[in-house]
Amino acid sequence: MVLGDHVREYPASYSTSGEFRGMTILARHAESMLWVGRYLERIEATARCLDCEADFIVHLKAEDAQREWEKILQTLGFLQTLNSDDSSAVGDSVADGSVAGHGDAVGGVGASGVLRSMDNILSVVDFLLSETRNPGSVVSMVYSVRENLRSVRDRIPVELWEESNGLYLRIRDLEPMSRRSQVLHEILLMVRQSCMALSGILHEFMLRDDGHAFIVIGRMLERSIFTVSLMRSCLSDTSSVVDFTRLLRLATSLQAYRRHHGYSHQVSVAVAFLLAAHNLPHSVLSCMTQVEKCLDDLQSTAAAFHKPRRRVGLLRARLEFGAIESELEDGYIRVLDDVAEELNALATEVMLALSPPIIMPAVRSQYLRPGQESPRLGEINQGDHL
Amino acid sequence: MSLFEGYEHGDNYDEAFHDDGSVRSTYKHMVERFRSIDIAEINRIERLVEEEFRRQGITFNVYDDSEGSERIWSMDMFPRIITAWGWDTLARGLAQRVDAFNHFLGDIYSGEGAVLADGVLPRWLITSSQGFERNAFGITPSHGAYCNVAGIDLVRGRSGKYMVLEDNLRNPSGISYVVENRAATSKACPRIFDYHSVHPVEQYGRMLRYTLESMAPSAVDSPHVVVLTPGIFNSAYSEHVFLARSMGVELVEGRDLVVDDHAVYARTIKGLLAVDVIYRRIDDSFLDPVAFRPDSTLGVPGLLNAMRAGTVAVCNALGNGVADDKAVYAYVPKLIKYYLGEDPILDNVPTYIMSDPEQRAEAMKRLNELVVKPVSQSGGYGVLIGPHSTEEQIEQVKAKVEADPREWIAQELVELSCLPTLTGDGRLAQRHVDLRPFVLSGETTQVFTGGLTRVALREGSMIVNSSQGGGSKDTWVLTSDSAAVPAPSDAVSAPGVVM
Repeated sequence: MVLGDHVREYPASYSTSGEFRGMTILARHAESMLWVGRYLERIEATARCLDCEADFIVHLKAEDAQREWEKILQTLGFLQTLNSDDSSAVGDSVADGSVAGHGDAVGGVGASGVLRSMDNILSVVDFLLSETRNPGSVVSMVYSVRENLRSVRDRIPVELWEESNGLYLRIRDLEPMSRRSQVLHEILLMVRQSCMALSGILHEFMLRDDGHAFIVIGRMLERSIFTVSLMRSCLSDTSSVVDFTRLLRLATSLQAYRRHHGYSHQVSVAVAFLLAAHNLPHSVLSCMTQVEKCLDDLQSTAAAFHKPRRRVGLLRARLEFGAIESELEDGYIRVLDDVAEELNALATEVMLALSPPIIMPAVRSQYLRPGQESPRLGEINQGDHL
Repeated sequence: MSLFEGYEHGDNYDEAFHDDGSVRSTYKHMVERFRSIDIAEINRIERLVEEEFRRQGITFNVYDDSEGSERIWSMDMFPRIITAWGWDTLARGLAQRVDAFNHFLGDIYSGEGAVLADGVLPRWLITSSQGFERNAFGITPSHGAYCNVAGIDLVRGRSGKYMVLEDNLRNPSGISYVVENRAATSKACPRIFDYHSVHPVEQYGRMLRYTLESMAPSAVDSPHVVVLTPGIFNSAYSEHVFLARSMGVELVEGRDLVVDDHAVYARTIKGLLAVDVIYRRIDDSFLDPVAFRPDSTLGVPGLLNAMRAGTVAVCNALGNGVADDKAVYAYVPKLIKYYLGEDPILDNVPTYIMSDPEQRAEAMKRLNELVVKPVSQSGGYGVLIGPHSTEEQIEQVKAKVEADPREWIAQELVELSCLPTLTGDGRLAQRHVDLRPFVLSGETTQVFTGGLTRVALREGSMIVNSSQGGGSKDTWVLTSDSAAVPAPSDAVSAPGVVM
């Protein structure tokens, strides 16, 4: 039968045992969890960037300020990288990765617009913090986290949903900077504390099932992509002196670096630290170790995860056991580009592994309009009258 | 100033007070408590409850609401109390009614239609019903249980006697609010339970899961149950989440399911996982685009064939709409007599079927005294309450009835009973209420002890539907009516706190 042919594209595990059921997760839920992880990490990173930078940049001359903002926007994936042609994967993919998607990648376009017309820094802050048309702004992402958690509410701790709902309620009506009475730092502190509360709930209360694994994968991917992206945008600009302190602070690793390497301001030492320090939570190696563990658990029962598992294993081994220091001495930009490419490929492979076509092709061609995969809003509110 | 200051007793049936203004014994302690607290305290509690609902995201969407936003669920702090004795009668009446419905649906969909052949109700009434689903022929649910979850709306008229106003046998919602109302009351004012021994309500998830598991195809010994939701934008989504979570089962959307070789599977990251029981919260016509609306992706292509093959149980059954058709409603007492050989324990509200020429002529003469309802709608949409309507509105409905009499019924107006309810300006006043208890039916038929009390918040209004801006009340069924009620405990709240 026609339908049967399509189903056999998926690995057949027609099990009905209760044990198997408790262990696994709907593909759609897995995707939502992954995005929850990515958004959470990104909200924290965006708030951290704004918190570190806004005060600093106020004191700069206009053209210097513009250059600094460019770096931030570039790190967060809103601008194309200066040295290479590849478009910033982070900003674009975040834009379409939500249950409540905001449509096209407004991010890229909006960001350059903001920069061009930047008569004051407030517009950049608004763009990153409260601009609802920017899917990568803190407010938009908080909304996305909430909507994604809403679609998996039956399998997450109640506290997780309530905290994210609370954050959303506190932040949704944020006014633009010029009309805002609250101090910027106050808002960012609130956002970051809420992110920490969410992390804590995830860590302390959530069942270590496949859903948890996907949140961890999402967070670690986003975190390592951010760390690499941050180094690329700060180090590729050879015209100015590298500000180590800021780079490390943005990567939340300044204090750790001081303990390890004191005031050594050698670029390759700092890069090696952020890439391959095994005990630094924001290093790429630490992130990859966690992703590898999650994928390892997943691939033992879900064959589709073998491919990303292999990629992350190779990358982790290269960072952990490879001669990363000598590679860096030959040219750290090349290494960073290389790692960034690997991370993007990894993110893509994870996505592909968990989202086979949602509706079987035969059914789609017969019953649906092109592009219509999910229900239209209008029909969702049928039934269930009270 | 007492919250009861200026409380008008009117000529409605007040569940808390006798006609002479004295307090009914069931409400003795409650009325005393509310007499002893002041506005500031009640405001504080109301804020606490609202904050609790907001934080948890317990919301209800109003259809066609231009705001399009989630509305915070609204609960009135003065609870409704039902005695153990009173509940016992209700429960027997409800179970009897649902049993009769199961027999009736089995008769017309899987049996010989004996009820029609015997002339108990006219064949045309069934075949012309919008809820009559020809695709349901030959699909026989386990134990003959069609109405796995039924919500029967009850009202009390001037005499205080319970009557059935409406049967909801398709997708009755509201159970999550029953549980959440109780949780909010317990948190915001634990002392309110002093002197009362109240049936807990949190066992619903367990009851429902047992019921659903009992519906699984017979070959399965550890059935896989899922809840099927239209998605996060559905008005009752938070209830769907509640059901899945309290049962410990997966909440799925149509796109998460596939049908292969007449069996249903969930798409997990580890491949396809067989599904045995689907508690669906979408209407019949959205279940399967192959059989029903081809333009909808809410359902699962091929699901109907899987149901026919008997590999999956879909709860509630397909085609239940014929039994909660409001014209069929008029015949329910006869159905109970016919199938069970018993007299109905719960009465109907006197009803005129507009497609019957004699009854229509009778009703048309006094539309201004009656309530006119479309037969296949729910949620209070399209209802005309004669005495509260203008001449123009009545004429409009008259024209609609003449154009399509099968679509309409008329009922005697029931002056709904009242309960003291907090008004916006910090006092208690009479407001009309109804009651929706829930009946679960699988291997056995069980009545859930508790229910949703809906209250019309506007003075004099009798529209209690949440989708029309109604509120709710925590509903207590007492475990015993004897004087042996537990003594108040001081452990829960600080000294000096009245509630």
